[in-house]
Amino acid sequence: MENLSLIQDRALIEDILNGQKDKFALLMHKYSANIYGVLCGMGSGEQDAQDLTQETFIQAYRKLAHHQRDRSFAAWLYRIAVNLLKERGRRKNVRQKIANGQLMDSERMDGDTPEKHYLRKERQAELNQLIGQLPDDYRLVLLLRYTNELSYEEIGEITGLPPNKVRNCLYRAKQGLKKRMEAEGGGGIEMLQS
Amino acid sequence: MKCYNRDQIEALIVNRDTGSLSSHIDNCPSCGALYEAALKEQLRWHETLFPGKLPDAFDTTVMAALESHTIDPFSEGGGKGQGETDSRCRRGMSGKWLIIAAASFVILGGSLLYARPTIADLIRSLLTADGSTDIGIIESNQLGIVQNPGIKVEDKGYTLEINEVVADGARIVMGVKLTDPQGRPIRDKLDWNKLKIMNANGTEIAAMSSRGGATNFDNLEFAYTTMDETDRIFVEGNFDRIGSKFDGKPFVYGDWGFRFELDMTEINKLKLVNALHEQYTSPNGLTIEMKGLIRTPGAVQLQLVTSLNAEAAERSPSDLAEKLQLMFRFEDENGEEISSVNSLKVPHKESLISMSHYTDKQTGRTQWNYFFKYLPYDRQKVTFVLEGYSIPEKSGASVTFRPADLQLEPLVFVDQGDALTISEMKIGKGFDSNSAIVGLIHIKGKFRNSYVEDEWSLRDENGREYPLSMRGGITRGEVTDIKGDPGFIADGMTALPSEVTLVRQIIDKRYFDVNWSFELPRGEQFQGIKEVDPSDYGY
Repeated sequence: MENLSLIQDRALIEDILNGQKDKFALLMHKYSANIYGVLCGMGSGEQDAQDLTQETFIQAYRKLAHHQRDRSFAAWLYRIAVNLLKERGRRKNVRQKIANGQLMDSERMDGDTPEKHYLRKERQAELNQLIGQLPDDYRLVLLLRYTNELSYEEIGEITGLPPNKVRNCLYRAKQGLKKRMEAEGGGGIEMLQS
Repeated sequence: MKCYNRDQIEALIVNRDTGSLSSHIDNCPSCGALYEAALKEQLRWHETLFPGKLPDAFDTTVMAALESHTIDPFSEGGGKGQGETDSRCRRGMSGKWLIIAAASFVILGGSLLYARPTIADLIRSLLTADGSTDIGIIESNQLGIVQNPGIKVEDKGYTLEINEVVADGARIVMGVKLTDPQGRPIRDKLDWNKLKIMNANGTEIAAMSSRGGATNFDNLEFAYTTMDETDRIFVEGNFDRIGSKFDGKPFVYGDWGFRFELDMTEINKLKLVNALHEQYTSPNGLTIEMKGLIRTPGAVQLQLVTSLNAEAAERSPSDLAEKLQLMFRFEDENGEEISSVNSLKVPHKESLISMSHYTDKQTGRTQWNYFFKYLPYDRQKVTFVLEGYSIPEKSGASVTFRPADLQLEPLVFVDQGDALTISEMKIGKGFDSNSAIVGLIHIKGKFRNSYVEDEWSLRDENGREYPLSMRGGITRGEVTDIKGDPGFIADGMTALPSEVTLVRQIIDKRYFDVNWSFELPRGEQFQGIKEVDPSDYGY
């Protein structure tokens, strides 16, 4: 059964190629936050990540006719973003940036009390710091996986890794995080507890 | 139908391949709970990793910037997008060669040949590191035991091909390629129940244990359902339609039937045996006797025997004892996990292909055979570590209550570490509005024990007994939750009794009070095996 998201993307792309340029905004709305999140997660500062996200969509728009319609638009888009990131050499010292508190400052969620918000930010900052210590390829695989939009094969195409290596990196990234948390006496990241 | 484990469910979600899972979880609360838990976990990861937010005006800004851009017209080869330059080029080229290689190779079809690795690599089904290959397949290829049945069947423009089969004493793996009239590969559109693995007498000897593959083929793995070795295996496919009820398209009917034979005479001789003599008895009366490790070309088999002392056997007669589930792992000299069986950890490494067992009713001893894709005791120090076990036991724990009283105060039922809160009992429709009237007992709570083999019943004030089924889910972990509405279902109950007794007939009890590990003997390697990095392959 074909994924509904793929079908929707394909229909939007058809419309855009047939002249309905405004529908590109729908694709952008759907993917911009995750593209931005991946770029931030890989070490771009907020402004750099915004610029690269914008450039990703401009490139995607210009090359849209070359996107293979039977394949995932999301995967194609993330590949553009990751290639732009690599080409521009904007990966800076993530650890330094995280230490300076620049990475992915979380917004306060609706319904958070100030105390909850503080705890959530603390937890977020702790996890961000640990993620920043992961090797680049582990971090990229982890981020791409949890866009929740890409298959292992597609992550492999973006990163240049075989799908099994992708799964292996993912496993090791999680194990690495868990070990680092344990080493620092940390807890509270629910996904890593079991 | 075989249940899924957490890793398999996650892979199906990630690969957007949940069609068969969806139909399975409609009737399997346990897998439904795993599915739900996997979705929740990926949502939590997403929320944690992607907290940042773009400015509200971002989309408007980019759309304004796009005013000065136009879409580049499509030109063959001249306008490759930023995202798909090199790899797309490679893919196209290899696909072309694939077709040529496959077409030329099937000319040889008819007779059963051992595929040469170079050709096997070209036809690219089982032997590529693309999500389906495991280390056992790689080593089988190195030993030259990949068989080529040369199957190519065409009807209604659709073509089915099987060019590689790996069969040994542990499992049978085959790559099945199906293409549509335009030559495009299609997957998961055959009814695999129509593929049978038989011995010379026509008796089925293996069942599908897993299915994977890449974009252009299905990779099927079969585990033996019998311990009897055979020199001749027959594979028969009786496919008469292509399609899926999930994609909303009509089925294509035709004949894609085939039959081929696998010669196991030489392969069955390829075995390296290490005897094991270790033995352990748990504080609760379970004895585990290690018997041996058998290395076959594509797998490693661990043989062991379990038995219960008189006290434990009283709690678990043989029909329950054979539902024992050992929890153990293998680890390297640094204590790193290599492979786990029945682990409660998420994630964990798993290379188990299948497990079979046979219980001698007279002695109560059960022989277990665990088949692993990867267990590198021939190249490094490997330690077996017992983590625990679960075993169904007679319980009889019960609680009597008046359903009307639950409205005033929920009832808490505590038994051997499990705690259930019974908050409501009523009469209503079962699983949906078309279901019969049943008794519905709303429960929430936590299970320390396994629950999988639990049996519960309800007795009314007149002594009538109603077996209970469970609706809802139990999430994985040492302490698990029951959620769902209503919880227990009492089939046949049409009026609310004034008083009932809830009885736990069988508890699937988990024991963690074990302490046993030992180092595996160093194994030999088959001649001709080259070491590969197992992390490059699924295992």
